[in-house]
Amino acid sequence: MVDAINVHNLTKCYGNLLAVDHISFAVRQGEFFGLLGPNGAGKTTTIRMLTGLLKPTSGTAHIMGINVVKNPVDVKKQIGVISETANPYLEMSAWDNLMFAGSIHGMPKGRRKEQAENLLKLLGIYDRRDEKVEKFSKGLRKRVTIAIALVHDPPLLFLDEPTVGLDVQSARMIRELLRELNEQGTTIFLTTHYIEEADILCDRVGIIENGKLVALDSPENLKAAGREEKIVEVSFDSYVRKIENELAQLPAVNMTKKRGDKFQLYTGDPSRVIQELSKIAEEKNLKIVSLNVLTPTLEDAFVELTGFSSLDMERMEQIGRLKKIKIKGG
Amino acid sequence: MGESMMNNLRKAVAIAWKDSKIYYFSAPTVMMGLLFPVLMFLTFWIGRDLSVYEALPGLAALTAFFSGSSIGVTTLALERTKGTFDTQLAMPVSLLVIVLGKTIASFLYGFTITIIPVGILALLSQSRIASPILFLVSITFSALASAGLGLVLSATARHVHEAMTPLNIIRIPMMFISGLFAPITNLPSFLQGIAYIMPLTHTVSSLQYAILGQWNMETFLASVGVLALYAVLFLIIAAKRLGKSLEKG
Repeated sequence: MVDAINVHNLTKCYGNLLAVDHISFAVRQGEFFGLLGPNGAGKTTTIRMLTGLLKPTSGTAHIMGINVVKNPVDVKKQIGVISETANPYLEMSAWDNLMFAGSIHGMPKGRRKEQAENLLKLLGIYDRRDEKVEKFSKGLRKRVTIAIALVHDPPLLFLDEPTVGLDVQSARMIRELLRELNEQGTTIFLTTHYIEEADILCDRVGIIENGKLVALDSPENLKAAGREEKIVEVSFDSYVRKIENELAQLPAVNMTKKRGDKFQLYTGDPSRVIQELSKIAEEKNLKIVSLNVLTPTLEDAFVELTGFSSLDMERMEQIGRLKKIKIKGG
Repeated sequence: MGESMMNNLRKAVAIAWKDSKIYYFSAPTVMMGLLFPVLMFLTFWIGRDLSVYEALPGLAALTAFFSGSSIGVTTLALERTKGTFDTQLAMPVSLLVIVLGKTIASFLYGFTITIIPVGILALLSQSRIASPILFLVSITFSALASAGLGLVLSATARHVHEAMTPLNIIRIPMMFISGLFAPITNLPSFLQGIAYIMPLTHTVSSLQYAILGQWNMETFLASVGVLALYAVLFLIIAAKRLGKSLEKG
């Protein structure tokens, strides 16, 4: 079976700036693939090249076996695109937006109507189908964008930061929908800076930094490879002054972090740390309230590979959005 | 692989239908496409010793030119500002077909907005248009050329004012050397050369023949030919400029 996406040495330069640097990967049909990376890492440039919106400087990309550079229109028949910057036509109703998209995809009128009705019902906006989209909230507008992307029932869906800035309910609904679509066989390519989102949804994750693909594996393999050390998390029944220093000086502990009323102890030998903790508790007459051995998260793997935490990514995303607003506002 | 001409035409018509729903009654369109040419015409007509009949080619030329370019000049820039152009780009349609669709929407607006007031004025003043068919032919190619000019200028613009400013810098001086207010032969010789390059000059001369019966058929055909050439050239240039501008991100 042909790969849904096959990318070889894909590169994009803007003048002297190397936005995407010779990346190669393949996504199988039916796979849920995530591309993670900090703001400016090259995620959006990659997705724009894969969807035929931007010509690569060099390298090749095939979507369902079709060359994106040579046949961008044919590629667009195979894909649905939901990008952070794409909006539905606000001056038209949700229904007219779908009728327009269907007609550009060459769908017969009857099929267009049937598909529009099904999608608007699925996304919970059928009752408001005749209202202009400008009256919709951001979450509802995003649902219209999703309906537009799905109107021709594409086998491959590209999503660029689909849940950014959405309310919890809309974000959750979108994640559930993506999961259902993937179960029904739709291949999904998702870029996100929400590491947890990629962790719970994706079969495989690529991590991109400075235009380079620095890791590509399943979330679990990335977590396992991210750190050899484990985290022992402990909390005591009362606070003892300078206990953090004592914990940090335990022979088997490499690093400590305080998380609320808990201490996280990074170690290569959790069982030894647990024994040492029991001793300390006994000596200081403390009761251990909770004791857990944590495995590294995808975020740990991500931080290890890129040096960015999800908090850093969130901040960068907000700065990026503020800059866009400033530019738009003149 | 590849799209048939009929499929591309269907897509262009769908884009034109969408643009007509969104832009025909928008404030910039009404202001620049309807009010501006009417006001310009009144400025030109009031106080001059011209009958309604003699003024009809001027009204028709101004309306066709301003209304034809008013949609083209706003649509691309507005869609890029609002993020709807990315939605359009994700659909299976080439840039040339997108520009063609927008040209059709602009043309239909310019054509309709021109024939309605001119028709009403001609009926009220009992003016006899020399050749109604040639009048429609002239309006058709004039509206197409002006739609193309608007699109060429908005192809690289991210905001409406970025396209509107250069369009006005071009079309307002064009009015004074196009034979609309004074015969081209009265202009200094270097301006006469420039005048014959301007599409509005050919709109004016073809309308003077179609409405008043001035000049001759050869002049009319040459003017309409130039307008048709401009329409095709502008379509291609707009698509190329749009492609280059999208490459810059």
